Amino acid sequence: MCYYNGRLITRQEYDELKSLEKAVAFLNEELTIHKGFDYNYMPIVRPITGTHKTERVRMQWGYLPSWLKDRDAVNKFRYGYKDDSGNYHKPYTTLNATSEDLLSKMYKDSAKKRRCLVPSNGFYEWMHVQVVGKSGKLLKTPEKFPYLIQMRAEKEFYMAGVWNPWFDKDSNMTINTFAIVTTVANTLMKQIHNSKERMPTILPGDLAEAWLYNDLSDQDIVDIANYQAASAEMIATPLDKDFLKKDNPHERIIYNEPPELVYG
Amino acid sequence: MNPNGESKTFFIEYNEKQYECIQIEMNGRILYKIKFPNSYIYLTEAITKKGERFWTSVPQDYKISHIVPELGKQIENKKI
Repeated sequence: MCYYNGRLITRQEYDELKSLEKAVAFLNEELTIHKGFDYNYMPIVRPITGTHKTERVRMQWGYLPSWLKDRDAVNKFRYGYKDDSGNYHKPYTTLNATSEDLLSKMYKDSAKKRRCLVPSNGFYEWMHVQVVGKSGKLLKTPEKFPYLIQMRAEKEFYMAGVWNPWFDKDSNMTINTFAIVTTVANTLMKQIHNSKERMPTILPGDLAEAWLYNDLSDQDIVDIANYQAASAEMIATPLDKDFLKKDNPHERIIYNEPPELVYG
Repeated sequence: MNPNGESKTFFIEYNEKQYECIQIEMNGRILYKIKFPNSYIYLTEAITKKGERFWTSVPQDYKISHIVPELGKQIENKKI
């Protein structure tokens, strides 16, 4: 017999309520700031196989392809390494999967079979601004000014993602990892993320549903992955350069150096 | 579609005060997040083995079980 808060319920009802408990715990977790290169676990939304329902599960942010054989290979993949001849091999950054590369060897299988949504309340990008030094000349290294970017109409929104299970033979466990899909920056994001001119693929409801559930052709996958949310739907808040160390990290701070943003 | 997202917001009254209540679709069910000054609770409607509907907190919490039926009643009156 199953009881929930003192009431006798069916096993199915009990299982659903217990699964809600896990989901609620993830909801609370989303209030935290996640830094990509810490390879932390974050909640993602994926379909429950054989149903039209979704579940929230935690996965490691930083996609690992299945061909990495062991932890040593993962470390070399993520952090780069020098081989026996002294040649340096650059690390792969797989926090983001560019929409143009989704059908490449690295992501293709996931793009076709393991798509997910990454819930977010906002994300951060840094504007690079050339500033004048004390000598009166432009400094070689630009200063970085952080911004929090949110959607005007939705507290929580959904970014397209792809995930992949990676088997860790050292622990005999499977680690699920994911990457956030990115697309070409819109006019607002081009001003903020002016070093790379990219932004996450933020999906409206109908495309989010298609991304999760539909049997998509290669062209459909590319088309949805390339979806670009409009500048007017977003709002960007300038933050303190050290916002991660602040008690109130999202306090609006106006610096003189960055040009004013244009939302048009 | 709103895959597990916060959607509709309304206010309920309890002990002559108003509290924000957010309707959330989660794992195919409807959850209600009620915001109190320094905390919040989640409620959902469940069904007993005999088919009777009742309001419950998620997760289970006996300490607040005495206020859950009234909060649930307020949600029923206000929900969209």
